[in-house]
Amino acid sequence: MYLSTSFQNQQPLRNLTRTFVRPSAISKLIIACCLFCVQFLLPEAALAQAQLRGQIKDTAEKRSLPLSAIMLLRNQDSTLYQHTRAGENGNFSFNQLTPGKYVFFVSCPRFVDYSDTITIPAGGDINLGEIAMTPKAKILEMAVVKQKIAAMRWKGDTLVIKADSIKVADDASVEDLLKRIPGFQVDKNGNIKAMGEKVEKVLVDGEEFFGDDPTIATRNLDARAVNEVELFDKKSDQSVFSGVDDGSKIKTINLKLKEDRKKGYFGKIQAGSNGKELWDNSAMLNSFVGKRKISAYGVVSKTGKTGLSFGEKMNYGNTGGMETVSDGGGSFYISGGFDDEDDDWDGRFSGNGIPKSWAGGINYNNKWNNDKQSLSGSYKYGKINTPASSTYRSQFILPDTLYYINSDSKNFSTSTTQKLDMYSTLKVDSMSTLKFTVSAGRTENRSISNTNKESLNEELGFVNTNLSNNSNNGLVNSASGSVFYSRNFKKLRRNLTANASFNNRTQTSDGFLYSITKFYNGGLPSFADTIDQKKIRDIDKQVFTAGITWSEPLTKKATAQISYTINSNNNHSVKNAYDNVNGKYESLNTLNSSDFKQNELSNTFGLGYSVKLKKVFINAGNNFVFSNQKRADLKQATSRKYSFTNINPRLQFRYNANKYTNLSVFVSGYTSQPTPDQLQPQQENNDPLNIYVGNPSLKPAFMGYFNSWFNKYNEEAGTGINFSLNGNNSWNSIMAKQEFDAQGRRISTYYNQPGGNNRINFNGGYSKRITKSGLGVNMNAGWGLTHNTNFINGVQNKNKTTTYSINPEIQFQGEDRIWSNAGVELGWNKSTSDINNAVRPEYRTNRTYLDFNYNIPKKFSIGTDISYNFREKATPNDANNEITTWNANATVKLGGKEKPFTLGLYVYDILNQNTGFSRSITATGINESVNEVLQRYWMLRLTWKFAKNGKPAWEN
Amino acid sequence: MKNICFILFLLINTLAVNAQSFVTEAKIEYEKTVNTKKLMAKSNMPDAFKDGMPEFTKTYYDLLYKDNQSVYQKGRDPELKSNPVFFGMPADDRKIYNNYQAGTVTHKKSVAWEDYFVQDSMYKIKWKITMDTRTIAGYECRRATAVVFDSVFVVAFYTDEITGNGGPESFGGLPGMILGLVIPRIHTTWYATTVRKALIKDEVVDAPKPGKKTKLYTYPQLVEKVRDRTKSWTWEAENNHKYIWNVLW
Repeated sequence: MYLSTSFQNQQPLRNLTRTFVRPSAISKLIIACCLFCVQFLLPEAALAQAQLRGQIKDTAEKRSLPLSAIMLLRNQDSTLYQHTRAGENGNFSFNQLTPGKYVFFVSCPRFVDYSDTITIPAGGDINLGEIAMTPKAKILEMAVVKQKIAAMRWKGDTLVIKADSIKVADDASVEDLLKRIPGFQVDKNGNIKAMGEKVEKVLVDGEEFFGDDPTIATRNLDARAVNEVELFDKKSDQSVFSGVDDGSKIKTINLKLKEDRKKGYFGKIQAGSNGKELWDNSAMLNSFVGKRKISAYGVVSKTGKTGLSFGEKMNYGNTGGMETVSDGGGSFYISGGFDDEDDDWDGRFSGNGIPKSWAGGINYNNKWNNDKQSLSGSYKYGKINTPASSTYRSQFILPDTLYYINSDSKNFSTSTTQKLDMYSTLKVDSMSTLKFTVSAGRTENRSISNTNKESLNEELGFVNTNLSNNSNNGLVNSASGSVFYSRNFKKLRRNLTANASFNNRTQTSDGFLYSITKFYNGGLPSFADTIDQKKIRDIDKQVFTAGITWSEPLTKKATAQISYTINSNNNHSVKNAYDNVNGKYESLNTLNSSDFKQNELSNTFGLGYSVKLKKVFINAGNNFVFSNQKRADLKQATSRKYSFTNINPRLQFRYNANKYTNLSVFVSGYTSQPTPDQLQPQQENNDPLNIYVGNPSLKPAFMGYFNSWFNKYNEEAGTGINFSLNGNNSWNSIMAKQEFDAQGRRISTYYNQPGGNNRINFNGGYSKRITKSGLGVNMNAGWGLTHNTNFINGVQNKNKTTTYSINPEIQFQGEDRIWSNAGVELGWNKSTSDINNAVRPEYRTNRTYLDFNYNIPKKFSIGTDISYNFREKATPNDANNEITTWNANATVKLGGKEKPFTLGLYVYDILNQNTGFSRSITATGINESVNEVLQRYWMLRLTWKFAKNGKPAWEN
Repeated sequence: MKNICFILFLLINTLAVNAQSFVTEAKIEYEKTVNTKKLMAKSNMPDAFKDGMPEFTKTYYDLLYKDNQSVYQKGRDPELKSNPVFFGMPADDRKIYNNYQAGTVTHKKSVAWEDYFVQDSMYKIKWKITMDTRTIAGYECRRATAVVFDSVFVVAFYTDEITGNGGPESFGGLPGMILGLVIPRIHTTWYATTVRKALIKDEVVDAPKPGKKTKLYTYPQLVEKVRDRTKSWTWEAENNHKYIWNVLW
């Protein structure tokens, strides 16, 4: 692995680059300019401008390290520029350095290498001070496998994990590898959490890989192709270019492929089947020619493993209509917004049903002209068919009455999505950069559903029944583009960025709704309501955003930032419902039809101030949003104007005690305006039993957030500690009062809840690797308290939910043969509510799990994982709930000396206890649901890994 | 008294070991391996000759390193006695002396069949440092690569544990001793087989002594000289540039 690649990839991602400048005086600038010119005229050696000094020390024993080798490598290509040895006191110095960007590299036998990027200005005399070296012995002691580079190390702000030091099966994917890294978790949908935070981006060799779906990389790339896994916080484009940290960051994983894999091609083909109705086949190929990289993949699967998330959710820069969600404690989930529920289908398999999926894509990366120009692009295609059925039972416990609602539904949906993404970067000169993105997508979906629903009273007599058949054909087309421009100036941290973006999305659908609702009185039918309609919808959405940001250094450490953004948001939504008259759907139902047009223009002024000291970083700022909204009801020929001001203050504080210990606190708040729907809801009749009533007198709500983290990691002892405390409180939150009328309909009326909605969570974790044996322990504990207030049938209901959890875990990675991990997760849950004091659901949960893998010498390996899930009955008339899931596999490597084939037999859910059953209990009711899931099955899977590359034979 | 001396000796010894994990005096033996078959594969030599060739020919060189100076010279004779001289390019009486303190080189060796003396600073090579490591003769070495004479790719493995900046032949300039050197173009490798951490009595680090009238070259001058001299060797027109390579190895 060349240093050049690693550092180039790193460069824009971390802010470690130390730049040393003396106070700027014009005279010095002139000298520097002259010297800069002279540089082209004189050979290197003749330039005698800068000096670099420092002292190499041992961290553990606090002594100096004489004779350590110190190198200065040219940053652009890792070639050796100068080198020296430390003197008797560990002191070293370089004289006569040419100004420029270098990698400062220290190596000393039995110590971990130290490297850092430094910029040497003309005429500078830089003292790096003490350079602390970490003894390798201590790290090697802990490392389980023989390795050339320490298993986990820090490179600036980046945690680097050597992939080969983590044991995985031969046919393992990157996802399997990530699961085994201490501090990393991957859930069944492929979402990754690292060090307690959600990972939102996965890059391959520092570049975009199939756009925004991380699972394409994690599930299709072969674990053995990965050299290092890097974890870091990717900063926003703006902070990378301006050098001013605006506090925004995205947890990112970068998979660095093995150097020998980046020549020629490598790939994997996997075919699996149970010989009957289930199959799971996939292929991936990666090809490299110089800097050009092409990857392609294809998946055909019927095991629900394919996540197919295409990231349809585009960023609409929604400054106005933020959605208000109140969760937990028995309240109802309300999501406001202009669009309907059917708008947000993101192509992702939700877990209900057994989908068949077909997917494929191609990804291209290339760089030219000394990496000054780069282009990445990807095209993806996916089709997913999901037949599903589900059963839902819920019990509403209200002070004066008790309701039951049962429903059964069957549905089938099919969806075809295509997405094209392009990214391009152009370094115009050393000071300015241009970035372009273009993307286009098209989703076609069809769905049919059939639902039977009944509401029963306390005596189990009918209150109402509903039968509905729904069909829908939809088409979504989207296109977006953006330009980002950044310019630095000679004055450090003075920076200008400008960006403009455009999003367009059109959604059309047509479908039929047939629904019969029967209402009962005293158990006898009183009246019925029938809907037989054809529905046509046409929704257009356009967003245009342009912004400019200026950063200005105020002092050596402080920077101010001002920004202005203009955002124009235009929506047009036409929904027409036609009643069935004599078999023809031609009569327009004006009550259920609407034609709304919404135009919003907002101006945002932002102010920011940040101070960066050696160990402390503080950022404070506020955005003022002045927004004007016009909402026209074209059917009624009325229009209303709204204008409002939002604020969004934020304060961030970060303290890095050293590179392994840091504390971070983030406080923010924002105003949230009622959405037009909440002010004057459209008449929707998709669910005649759920009616929403708008409230024109709604006030804006304000949400306050508090987040804090503390991390400490000790490389030598292999211990890690992390704590997080976060919470939020909302004032005047917009919620819905629930009323159940005599017919069992739920009528929701929006109102402002002054207070009583807040949440606080605490999480702590500790991990320790027990030296030498490959044994490690982890311990996680959490506590949460949620308060929630709402109205049910005119009575205010305060809910309080408390949760505790504790999860000790033990891990073992024995030499090359055995790896295993086992743990217990215990939880305790309690909730109370005003409205129903008699019922105080309280229950404990227990999840006990064990996985074990054994490589039998030479060819065979076996693995198994078992998890026992228990939920105690919550109320006396409830029942305990327990499920044990047990999976096992056996594999054999085949194919001559190289053994490129792995044949495996996998059995899932051996005990056949996966029923898709779930139950949730709140103070106001009990909900149970049964979804269709894949039960016990086996699969025979053949994996073929191939590569044409490898190190040239002459080097061995 | 004896005991005190012993304790003192032990103490000094421990201190020295603690402070000094670096090797500042050593005898390094390099095994030079030429893949003769591959080297000769393209030549227009009769096939019978080619078939008779051993696949590898091995020769040995020693690098003696002490007091910040080193000398690279002929080592033990190869064990394979049938090694044909014609193909083998046996170890000759080359002598390459480096003074790391002064940064100077004195070398005497045969380039294009004529002996030359060079007195210059170390030959400048633009090394590219990588993160790859491998162990050679018990020392962890880091991989560095370079391109010399415009097109010849060279891989070196050096260890920072041995403090000198030299290596086999005229290679050096890395922050440690080169223990492995690979030049794929000529199918040749040099790998250290043993590193002895001290020199014995007869092992002296000395520079080759030029005669009073011997002409002393710098590296660039020698390159020019060889270029001039071989320019007219038309029978070897295709390979003339290879004689220039002999300046370095």
